[in-house]
Amino acid sequence: MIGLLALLACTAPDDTGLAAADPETRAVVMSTLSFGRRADDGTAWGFDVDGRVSDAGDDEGCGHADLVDADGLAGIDSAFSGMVPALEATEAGAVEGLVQDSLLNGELLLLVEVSGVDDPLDDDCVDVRILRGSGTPMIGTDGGMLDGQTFALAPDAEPAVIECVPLVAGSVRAGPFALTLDFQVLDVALAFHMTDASLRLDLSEDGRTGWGYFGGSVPTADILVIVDEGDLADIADLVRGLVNAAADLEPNDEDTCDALSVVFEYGATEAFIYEGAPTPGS
Amino acid sequence: MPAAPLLRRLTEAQYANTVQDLLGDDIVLPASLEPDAEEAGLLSVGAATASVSSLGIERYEDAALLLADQVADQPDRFAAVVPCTPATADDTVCADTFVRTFGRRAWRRPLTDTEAARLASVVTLTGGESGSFTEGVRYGVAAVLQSPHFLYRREHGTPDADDPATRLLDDWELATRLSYLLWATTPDDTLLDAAAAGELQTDAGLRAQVDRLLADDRAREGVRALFTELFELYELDDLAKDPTVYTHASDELGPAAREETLRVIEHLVFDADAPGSGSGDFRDLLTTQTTFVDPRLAALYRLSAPDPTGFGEVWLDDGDGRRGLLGQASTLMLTSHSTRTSATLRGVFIRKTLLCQTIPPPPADVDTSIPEADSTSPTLRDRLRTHLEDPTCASCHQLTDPIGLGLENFDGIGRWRDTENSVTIDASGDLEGTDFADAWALGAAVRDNDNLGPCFAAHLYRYAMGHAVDPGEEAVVDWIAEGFVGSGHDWQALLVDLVMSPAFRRAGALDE
Repeated sequence: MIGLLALLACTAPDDTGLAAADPETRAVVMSTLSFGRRADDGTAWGFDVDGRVSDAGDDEGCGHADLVDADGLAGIDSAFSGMVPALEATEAGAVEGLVQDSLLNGELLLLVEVSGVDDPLDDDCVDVRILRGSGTPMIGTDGGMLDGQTFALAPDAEPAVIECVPLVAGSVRAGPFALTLDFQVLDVALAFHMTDASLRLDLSEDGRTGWGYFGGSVPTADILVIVDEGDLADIADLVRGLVNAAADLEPNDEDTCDALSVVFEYGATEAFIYEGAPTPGS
Repeated sequence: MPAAPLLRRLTEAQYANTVQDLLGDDIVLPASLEPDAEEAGLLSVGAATASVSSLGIERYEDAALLLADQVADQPDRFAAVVPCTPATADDTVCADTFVRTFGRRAWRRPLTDTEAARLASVVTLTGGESGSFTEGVRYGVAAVLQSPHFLYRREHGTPDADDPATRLLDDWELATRLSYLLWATTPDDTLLDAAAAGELQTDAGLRAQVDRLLADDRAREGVRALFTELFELYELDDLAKDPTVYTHASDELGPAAREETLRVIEHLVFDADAPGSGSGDFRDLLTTQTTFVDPRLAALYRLSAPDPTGFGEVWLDDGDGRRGLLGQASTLMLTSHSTRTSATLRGVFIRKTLLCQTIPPPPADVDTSIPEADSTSPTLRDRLRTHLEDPTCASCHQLTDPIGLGLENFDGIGRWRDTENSVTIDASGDLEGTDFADAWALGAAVRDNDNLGPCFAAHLYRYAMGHAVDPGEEAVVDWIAEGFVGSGHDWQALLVDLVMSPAFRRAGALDE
């Protein structure tokens, strides 16, 4: 009923005499974040980062075959997901929890705003912005990020803006964009400079919750900072070997690759953005 | 005919306000005092009847010493309280000046010569023995602040030759009653000067002071104090909500909810319409779409917070389902249990507090529990339906529960919900023949109920006078209520009418 009332409140007769709703803007904040993983059947969520459907012998993918996602989409680049089981068997398995902590303590506040929404389920053209928030989020009694919060935007972070993409069955895919992911892991300040990134967001009809994933190309050097600077001496060679072996993007002259396709899966909850907050790029 | 004269102990809030006015806003207040006691729905009524425990007396003494230490140990505060420079450690002239000036503010009347001499001797004897006038002041301040003359407001009056059944409040008692009503604190020097000049005994003189006090920002504190008591908003400091049920529950939520309600009331009384035009229709408290939220409340309400640093004004859209007092988290939390809502408590609040209707308390041995939710009774309405089949329960619960169910779209901390246990909530009902479909319409029905205005007038009367309305006072309460309704429910007009009424200036005859 509330949704209907809201709709009626925002309506005005158009020139056909019918009420036309003002387009809505919906925003969510990522409240959980985990590494993209491979399902038992070998599928994985992700995107075709390099525009190729590589097989195991493709030099452009450093010999790594692309994956297929659960919807049957081929060409999925998600090399990091193949490393996750091995990492989880080591001290590096703690990294994922620390990334989640970065969300909850405000170091890595990521918001997705979808505007121009005429129909929350199907819309030919909506605009998507991926934004960095600032401040410390409020935490609920369940230890998770409180829903419905209002966030300020990080003044020094340029938002990614993807205009006019379709919203299909409540799901939107947007890209490409560049995104820097900053987090503190094992006393090391990491910065993943993700390029050729894309994002998927499935938003509930009432806009209160969301799920999705984003992924792109991350330089192996960005990842190996944790090995070079962190207290992981015991497994440094193992991690370095895993990363270099899994690298599947940006092949170099030495027949290796300088970048790795990385996918993060996230849960999201309704959020607002302070009016008047600096919104560069909007 | 007014009720018998009273001695009214300062409530904790009044004590704090008074001490801050006397010694500075930054004074460190005592952590605990004798707790307030509520009677007839108000702490101000309880303050006129509750006795003080022996522990309470010790607390008042400790509090007085804590405050006195800050005066003695902080030169700026000392200089603000002591208006003279002592020539010696036992300077009798300066001691007399100090106790008379500080005593007049603290005891809200001039000290008698005997009182002044006794207090001055505390200062000079202690100062002389310690070799420090400051030490003398330390004990002088402590003596003033633990005296019953400070802790109690005396409203005894003097016999009225024209009306032996009543007593006229003297100038100081009237100034004190006026100040604690409009400012919730001690009279300032200007009001005491007006009392000293006898100006309060004339309509013009009293009205001039009423207008002055209402124009002062401290009048906002007075209104806040009244509604904090009336709606029991002080309970929000320690309200327990089950964190496993309510993820938004926090120590900050209750105080934030109280602040929202008080800001809305302040806004209605002082800020409505054009600047300077005074108050609007106070019944709008039930239907106003203006509210004030901080980031935590905004998250609870699913609103974009207007200000990252604190409270800001927001407009609740028609589609929000939430408006007015009955949609505010303060009301909704206070009328819920720790794990669930209570249609009964919510109905009682509307009937008793807003409409001044009588709801009998449950019999002592009755089982007030309701069945747990199950597949056949997923909503509170379902469970109460079974409950109401018991005729012993139904007689009272029919008065409260159907109304309280109108607020079921709000959970136990005030969050909106469309469903309970996956079943759509039916929030419809009727209030004395007025159908309502939901909380939005229930607020309108309460606003338009004929009892609302007179009920607020009666609450104000009890708050001002410190006692329940006696049968002999019903006529004056009715007269004030009529004026309130006639003014378009202008709260400031109600305050003026009450103060200017003969009853406000009188007490009843002393009990033999």
